[in-house]
This record gives sequence, C-alpha cells and structure tokens, in this order.
Amino acid sequence: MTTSLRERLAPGEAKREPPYHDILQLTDEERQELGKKLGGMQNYNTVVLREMARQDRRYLAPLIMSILSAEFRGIDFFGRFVVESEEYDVPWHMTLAFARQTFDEARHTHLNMKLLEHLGSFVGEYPDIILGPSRDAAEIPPEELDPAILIARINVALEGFALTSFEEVRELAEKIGETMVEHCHDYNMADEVTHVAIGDYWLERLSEDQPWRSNRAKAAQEEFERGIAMVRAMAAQYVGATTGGSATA
Amino acid sequence: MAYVIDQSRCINCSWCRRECPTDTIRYFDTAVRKHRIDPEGCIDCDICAQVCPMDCISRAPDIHPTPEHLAAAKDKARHWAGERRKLIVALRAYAANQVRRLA
Repeated sequence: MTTSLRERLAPGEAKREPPYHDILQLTDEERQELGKKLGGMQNYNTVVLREMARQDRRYLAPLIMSILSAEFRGIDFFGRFVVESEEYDVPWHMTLAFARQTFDEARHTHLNMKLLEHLGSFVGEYPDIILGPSRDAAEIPPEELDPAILIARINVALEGFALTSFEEVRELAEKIGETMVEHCHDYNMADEVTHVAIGDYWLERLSEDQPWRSNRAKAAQEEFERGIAMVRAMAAQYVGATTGGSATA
Repeated sequence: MAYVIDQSRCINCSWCRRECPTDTIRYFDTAVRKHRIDPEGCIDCDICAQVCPMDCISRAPDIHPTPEHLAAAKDKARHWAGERRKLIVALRAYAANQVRRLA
C-alpha cells in the first residue's frame, strides 16, 4: 500500500517558488513595509482593497495578489485530491473531473500571475492570504476527509463565494476602465460556475446510496459559510459600519 | 407573483440566497439539498434571477404571497437595503480616507 500523500507532504507544505509567506509570517520590517504601501495589515482584505482600488488603481495589484494566492492553494488542494482520491474509493471519472479542475486552477494561477505583472507587481511583493486552518494530518478527524465534506466546503461553498468575488472585481474593473482585469475575471467566472456544478453533481452522486453524507455535507458547508461571514463582519466592524443584519458589501 | 428555482438545474452556488433582500431563499433548513424560494417572503425584485449563473430562476405567475406577507417582506427588504447602504457608505469613506492618507 502506498503512503498517503498527506503523510509525505503535510497539508501546510507546498513547493511553490517563492514559498508561501502569509501575513502571520511577516517580519516586523515586512509589516512596516506593508503598512507604508497599504496603510496596515487590516487593509489586506479583498473587501477593503476593492474599495481602495475603486479610488486609486494602484490597489488593484494587492487585490489581484490576494486572489492569486487563493488560486495557488487551489492547485495544491485539487492536485492532492486527485492523487488521494484512490484512497477514498470514488469513481474514476470523478477523479478525472477534479484533474480537470486542477488544470483550471493552474490556468487561473498563470492568468493572475500575468495580470500581476501587467499591474507592475510580482509574486512575493504582497503576502499570501490565509485560507482556513492548516492542521497536521494526524489532527484531521477521518470523517472530515470524506470527499463529500471536502467537496461541500471547497467546490460548493468556497467556489460559490468566488463567483461573487470575481463578479465584484469584474464590475470594478469595468467601472475604472481596466479592460484586461475585467476580461480575465469574466473568463475565471465561467470556470468557477463549472467548478461549483462539478462539486454539486458529485456530492449528489456520492450521497445517493449514503444519505447521511448529504446532511453532513450541508452542515460542513454551513459552518464554512459562517466562517466567511465572520471575516466579512469583522471587516465591516473595522470600517465603522456595524450592522445587525446579514447585508454584505 | 413570486419566483421559483428549477431544482434540476440549480448548482447550489448560493449566490441567490446571499443576495436576496428578504432572506427568503432556503437551503440549510430544507429537507432536500437544493435551494428553494419561500413564496411568502418574495417581493418580486428579480435580484435572484439576475445573479443566477445557471438562469434557473424564473417568475411563477401562479404563486402570490398574501398582502400581509408581502408587506412584511417589503419591510424586511427596506431594512436590508438600509443596512447594506450603511455598510457600503462606511466602507467607501474608509477606503477614501486610507487612499488620501497614503497618497
């Protein structure tokens, strides 16, 4: 029996060059540098950056970097899923669907890297965003490694949010006349719709004979969405707009 | 009139649910794993149909909320719109302030 990929390459590790460097790993000098560029780490947030870019297109580069760092994670996540799906005993054509998705994420990554260059920046100028907790393989309970849970969280919930994010960036780019950014995010949006559809389709198939999977997947999706809502609520509180309702910018 | 989701084409992206001003699109609390519009809360605003990437949301001419439900839903929508406006105004003012400070 082969060793699981997650035992050979821990979930938090990756072979990207330059290596991942998120905001929690910044040195004091790097924090000061980021503060001079963006006004502080609290502004390194897609919602705030989007509004700053609306005023001054200099802030498009950190906005694109925040999206790009998520695309890099997408390659990691889906690439792992394709390799580890053997252990999950899923249909072969499900593995193929996620291999296709990994290819899409690689394309998005390349596209956003070129956009970053177009905007006069480079990978490494701004830190990576943090996408969820990074845990040791031993800490992840086996039920959370069920492919239905992974698909519910990432394909349906996260990629579903990506639809909104890319549409917001596309709309912003259209308003400020950045046609390259507008075109690229319109392109990305089309793929994200497919990714959500892939996730939804396979969640349905995996749950057909095991209905408990459907309930568990829904619960995982709801928990994930609460996490994202909390991050957005914190951004809202920070800018002084405390709202009691569910409205989001 | 209210709107209805074609569940055979819905991919559960939840965009409609997040944009609905009356929070009347149900998903987590339904027995099925598809999105469903509760007609009692629908104000016919068309936002869900506009954002749906699968074009699977359409008007249901045979479904009509009662006047009481419609009035309550409209109140909810006004509150939602007010909150959202407050958030966007604050966000834009903050962003403008940051950009001025850094210029």
